[in-house]
Amino acid sequence: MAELIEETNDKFVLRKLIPASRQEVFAAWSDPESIRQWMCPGETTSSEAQIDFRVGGSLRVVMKSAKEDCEHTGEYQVIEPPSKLAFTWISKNTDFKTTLVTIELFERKGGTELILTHERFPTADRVRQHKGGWSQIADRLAEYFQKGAATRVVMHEVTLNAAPSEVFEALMDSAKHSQFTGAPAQIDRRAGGAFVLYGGQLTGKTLEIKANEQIVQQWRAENWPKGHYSRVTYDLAQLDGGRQTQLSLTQTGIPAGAFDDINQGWRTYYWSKMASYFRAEKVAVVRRFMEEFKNRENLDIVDELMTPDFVLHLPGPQLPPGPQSQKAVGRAIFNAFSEVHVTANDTIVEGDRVVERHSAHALHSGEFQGVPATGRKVFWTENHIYRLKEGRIAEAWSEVSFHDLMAQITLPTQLAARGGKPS
Amino acid sequence: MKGPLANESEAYRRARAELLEAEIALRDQCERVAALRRMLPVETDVDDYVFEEGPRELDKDGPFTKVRLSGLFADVNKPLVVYQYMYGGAQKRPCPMCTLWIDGFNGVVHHLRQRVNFAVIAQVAIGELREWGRQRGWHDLRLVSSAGSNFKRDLQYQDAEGSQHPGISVFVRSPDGSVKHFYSNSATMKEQINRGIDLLSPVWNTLDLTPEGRGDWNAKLNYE
Repeated sequence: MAELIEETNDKFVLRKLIPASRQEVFAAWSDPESIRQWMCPGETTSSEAQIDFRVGGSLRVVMKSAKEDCEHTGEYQVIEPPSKLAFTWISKNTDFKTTLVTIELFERKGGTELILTHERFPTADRVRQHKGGWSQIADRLAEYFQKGAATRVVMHEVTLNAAPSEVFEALMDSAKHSQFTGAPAQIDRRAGGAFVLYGGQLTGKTLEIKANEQIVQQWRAENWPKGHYSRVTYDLAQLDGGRQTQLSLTQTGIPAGAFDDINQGWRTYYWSKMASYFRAEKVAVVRRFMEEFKNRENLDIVDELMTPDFVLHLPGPQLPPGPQSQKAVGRAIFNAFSEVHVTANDTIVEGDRVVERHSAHALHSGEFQGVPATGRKVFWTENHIYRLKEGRIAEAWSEVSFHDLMAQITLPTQLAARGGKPS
Repeated sequence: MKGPLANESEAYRRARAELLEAEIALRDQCERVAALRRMLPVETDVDDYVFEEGPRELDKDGPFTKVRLSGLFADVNKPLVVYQYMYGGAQKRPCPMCTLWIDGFNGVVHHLRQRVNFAVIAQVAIGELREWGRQRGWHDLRLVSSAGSNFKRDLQYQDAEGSQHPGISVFVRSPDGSVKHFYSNSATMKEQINRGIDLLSPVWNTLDLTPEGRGDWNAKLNYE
């Protein structure tokens, strides 16, 4: 918004920073084609300007809106490129009295400071009326230069530890987007649908969408010039048989001044947050399995967390197929041991695999592998590699310190004393 | 000349001496190849294609102006070297390898300009090429778009599907103003024979000085 720096009964002064050089701003005031585009306050759609740009030359500006055409006339008083311009200004809104508009331009960091003084008004009401109009004109002039300004592009390539479908969902599903960014997100995922991300800091519209492959969006940040949009394209390609995703981001039309923020912003607010999110999501599934199944004896959790075609690779026992294999192992353990407590020591996530090292304490209170209850405290370790698919466990490769466990329940007490002591 | 270090083993010295002979042979071979190249006849006419470019200051996005191939000879007495950039046509994002080469050219072009005219030509629209150039900081290069011309197709840096090919082309301007093609080379030199323009980037050559060599390292548009 243009800033009002002075107002009296017959005069006001406005200030506005225009993102262009003094020469460019001065040229804009001297060019009817340019004036047509930005000298448009309120509901004015365009302005027709006829100007004789010399001291003593006349000017005529007709501001056109759906309601009316409003004619302004005047005469150039001062023309001093690139710093000063003054002209008289007469219309029905000045009660056909001669008022004076002075434009002064000062070089500033990031552009030109424009000081607009409009004086000699007949009444204070006319002052109020005009300051709103000129303030909008100053804003439009700034936008006019912003639109024509050189823009920048960002291209990033990131490898994410998730399938293209997961990356796609994280970007386009409101709840998931909100989870990984930790900020409110509303996304209408249809082509043409609007989105509001980071609680309104980022807004726009999805232009094209191809599930798991490509998203094209009109995209802007809250602090960009009004009405300015960039174009964001996400291209997703699977790597390593779909265990990872190569995400290629192309963003064009970034206001030059916003480039550093945006370039770093993708890294901080997207790529690293997405990477943590995909990791945490996989770890959460595996951790929930451990807590529910092993520490709460909830064998039915298998139906929720394992895929119907789940495969368990466990050396030794013959097992039924599918998720039933995991339940069979659970029943055998819980028939033989009570007070089972398992803790996770290491968790490593790579692609669609989660690797965990578990250690378990328990009381041998029932028959195990033909050995009746000994009442001994026992300890064993487990190493698991889980393959995850769409948020569930699809396959597991497990190793348990089975022989050591057998020794703990079959050897004389002294020799088995190691039981209960983690190695 | 670099002498041996005091604590070098005899085995190292022998191996290094053998390598030195190979390096000298390589230098001689490079010079023989350059001599052969210089003997190519300057006789092949090319059309005076019309391109588009923007203001000298990369931070200005317009106005865009037309420039002919002959107009890229800022100094008509010097040859014109064109880097054929894979960006545009079916190549939606700039080629990372080409981008590496051009990053290098941007740094040395003020040296090159002492003896040659230099431009980077891509099939992508001039606005996009400049936008990307600003991200790379290519303020010293002449960035030119061949969009709408048959330049890339005729020079065989674009195929029927719009796929782009990387490479380097050299033109000279005859006294009558016409432009002659002198030399072109591509990364793909012959079928199955690649790495045709590796010598244009110090990156590969520098990596080849290390125990690991260039290995399978590859350029990306940016590094995380």
